[in-house]
Amino acid sequence: MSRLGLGVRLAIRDLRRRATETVLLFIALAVAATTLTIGLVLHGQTDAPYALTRASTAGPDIVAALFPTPNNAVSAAGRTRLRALAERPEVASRSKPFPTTWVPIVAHGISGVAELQGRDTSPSAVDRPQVVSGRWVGPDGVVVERAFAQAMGLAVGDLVELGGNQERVVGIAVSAALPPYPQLCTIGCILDRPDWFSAEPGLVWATRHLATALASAREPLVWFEYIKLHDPGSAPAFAQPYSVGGPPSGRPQLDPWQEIAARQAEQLANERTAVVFGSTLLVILALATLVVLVGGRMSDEVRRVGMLKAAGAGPGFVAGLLLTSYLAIGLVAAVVGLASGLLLTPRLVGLSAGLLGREGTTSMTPTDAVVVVGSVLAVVMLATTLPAWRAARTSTVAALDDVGHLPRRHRLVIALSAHLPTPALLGLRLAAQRPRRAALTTLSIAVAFCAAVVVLFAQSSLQAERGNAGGPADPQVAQLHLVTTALTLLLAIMAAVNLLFVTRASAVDARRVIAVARAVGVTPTEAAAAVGLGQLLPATVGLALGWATGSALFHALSASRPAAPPTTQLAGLALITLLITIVLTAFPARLEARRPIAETLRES
Amino acid sequence: MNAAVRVTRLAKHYGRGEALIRAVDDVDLEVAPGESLVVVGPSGCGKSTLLQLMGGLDLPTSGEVWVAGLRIDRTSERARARLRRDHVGFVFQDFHLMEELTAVENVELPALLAGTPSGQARRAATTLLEAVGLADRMRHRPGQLSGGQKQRVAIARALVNRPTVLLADEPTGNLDSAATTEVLRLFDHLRSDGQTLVVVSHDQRTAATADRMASMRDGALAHDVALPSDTTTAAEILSGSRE
Repeated sequence: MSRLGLGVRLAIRDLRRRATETVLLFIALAVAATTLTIGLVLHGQTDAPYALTRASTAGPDIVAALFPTPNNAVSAAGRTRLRALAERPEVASRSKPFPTTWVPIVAHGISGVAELQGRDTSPSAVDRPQVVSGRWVGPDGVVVERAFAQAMGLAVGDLVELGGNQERVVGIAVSAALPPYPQLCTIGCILDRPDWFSAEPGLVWATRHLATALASAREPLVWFEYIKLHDPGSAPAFAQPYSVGGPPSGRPQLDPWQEIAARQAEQLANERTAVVFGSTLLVILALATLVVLVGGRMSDEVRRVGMLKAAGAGPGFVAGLLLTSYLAIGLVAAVVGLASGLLLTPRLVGLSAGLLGREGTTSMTPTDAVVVVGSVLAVVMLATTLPAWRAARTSTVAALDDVGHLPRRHRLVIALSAHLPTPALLGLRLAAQRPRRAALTTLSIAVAFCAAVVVLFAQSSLQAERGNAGGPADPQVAQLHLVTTALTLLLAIMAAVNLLFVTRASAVDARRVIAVARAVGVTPTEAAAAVGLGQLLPATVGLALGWATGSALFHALSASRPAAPPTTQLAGLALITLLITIVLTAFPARLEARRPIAETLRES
Repeated sequence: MNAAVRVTRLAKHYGRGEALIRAVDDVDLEVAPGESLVVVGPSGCGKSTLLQLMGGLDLPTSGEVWVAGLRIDRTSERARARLRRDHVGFVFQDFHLMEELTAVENVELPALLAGTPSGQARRAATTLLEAVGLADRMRHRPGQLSGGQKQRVAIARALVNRPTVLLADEPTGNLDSAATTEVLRLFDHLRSDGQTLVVVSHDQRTAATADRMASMRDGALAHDVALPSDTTTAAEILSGSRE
């Protein structure tokens, strides 16, 4: 058998011998690869659905909106300017001007604001909203933009109250002319009522007659005209002269289609930020998991390395063997992470209902795939190379004797702990002996809790910014809530995996100390409590760090003034984290504390 | 008067069928308070297992174990832990000292774990280290001590909670001749002070420190004889090794 074949065979046997650790490590790496994939896929997620919607609905290249001057209706001169604009040589085709106003809308007990656009019953030359359910506008009913309909809980056949009138919803449609709910007003709205200042209107198409009839002095008609250019790419240049000089007053405001696409992309910007933030933390945790795992394994494996070397294996072969097994797990985890990331992206970060496009279809470039696989393998190499090489360089005699590392002496800890009860005395001394491992526990908990704090701050701030009691649901908030909750859950899982690893590794390291302590009268419960406490102390430090970092991070990253969640909520979360830590550390600690003393002392 | 340690029809078996190993097989033994017993026998005869059963570190397959008037073969691990804390001191062949602790910190550890106030534990540890001749080595860590000194620290540690019985498993097994004499002389002093001792050893010289010697073969007791209290042999062994 070749050396390579032998190495692979030994690596596979080693992984099978450590099935639990292999599975846990695989989970850690796959979760990190999945979120990394989601983050990368999101970059190309927004363009395709908008382009499809634009093509399917004869979307405009330019949206021209004619706003009235304050306290006046749109003047005849203004409408002439709008007509003149549409007759410029760059224009290929145009729609008629559509009268638009803003009215209160009530349905199913939900109150909101509708941007009511008057349309003809016949199709327009530019912007022909695609009816996805029911039919187009007629004298007997209105059509609601799909994202807004979902937020209001509307379906075809429902009755809605529009500006005090009962109207029937005859259709649900999608358009590329204006950004879908809740970003409609980024193009321009007149919301001249104090209770509407924080409202996010949604688009409703009605007959011209109804739109005109519902216009009021406070909500006068605004005229929208959609224009197609011979060269869609020149839309920004076409619109540019009209955006100079501040807000329009009696002259058209022009928005190129690229602006609408950008507004659309913003819908996913928050999710993307959250996913990138989350995946960064997950990669850090995956690295910590690996470091803990490799460190723990090396404690167990020194004698095996000695046997391999005694049998003639060189340091390179031994290091290669250790690396191969982890790289194999990393490769499989990266592939699984890629696949699950591609599958999860459209579900976790759903396409806006305001656009066309099939959910479940996502695209990934070869570069993205290389980045994911490369990152996972780099993390594995980073965490494994040094300990593997160090283990391989251990002298054969020392490895066979398995003398291990001499525990560190911390005079202050020894002196202070002498005054404490048994579990605290042992726990504190055990934690002090392995400061790097304690630091990893602190890091794991700090990262997970930091993310949880950021999520609480984000949700609290979103609630404060967009909270609209009794109003329609904000799909962005709901989506962000889903994404951040899922990410926090993943981070919590990773932190839990780390904690289990660290506790097990620490318990294995402390095996002899525990056995001697039990021989002189320490009970298994006290011994288990000591091992658990050895993790609880750094975990508590991690909680405090995570709290402070999460809060500071959100304040630093947040553009607007963030709203802090209630302290009781944060304290409750900290308490739950602490309880979970106790439960998670209790299992490996109890297992180790119940090991037969005589057997342990014989082995050590 | 109650025996310090008593085992009745004690057995410890491993495996089953053809692979059955009778590590301890139907042993009856009693150690009176203040008595010093040495158990000798070849390697693998079951003497260490017997000692572990006596100290409640392991549970027998059958039979009874009594320590300080308490039956321990049917009690919980928690109860046995308390018994070890209050009545049993262990000395191991490999010392099992904490490398990061100094000699005095090692000795005081069982007292601290038993809830003794730290000042009182330190005083007891200091006194014991002086008694075993290590007054000048109190601040040394195990790595800075010789084998004999380490074992004397381990003996002091085993005595710090004033145990009813001191159980020593091959206490000279890892020591050279001079260090062996140091430790045996210490056991001899302990016997003179009335400390109940059970020492397991394959070294016949250990008998010099005992009132009684039992020998084991294949898990069973082969002989159990009282040793003359004032033997020239003992004196010769303890002094001869010094030369």
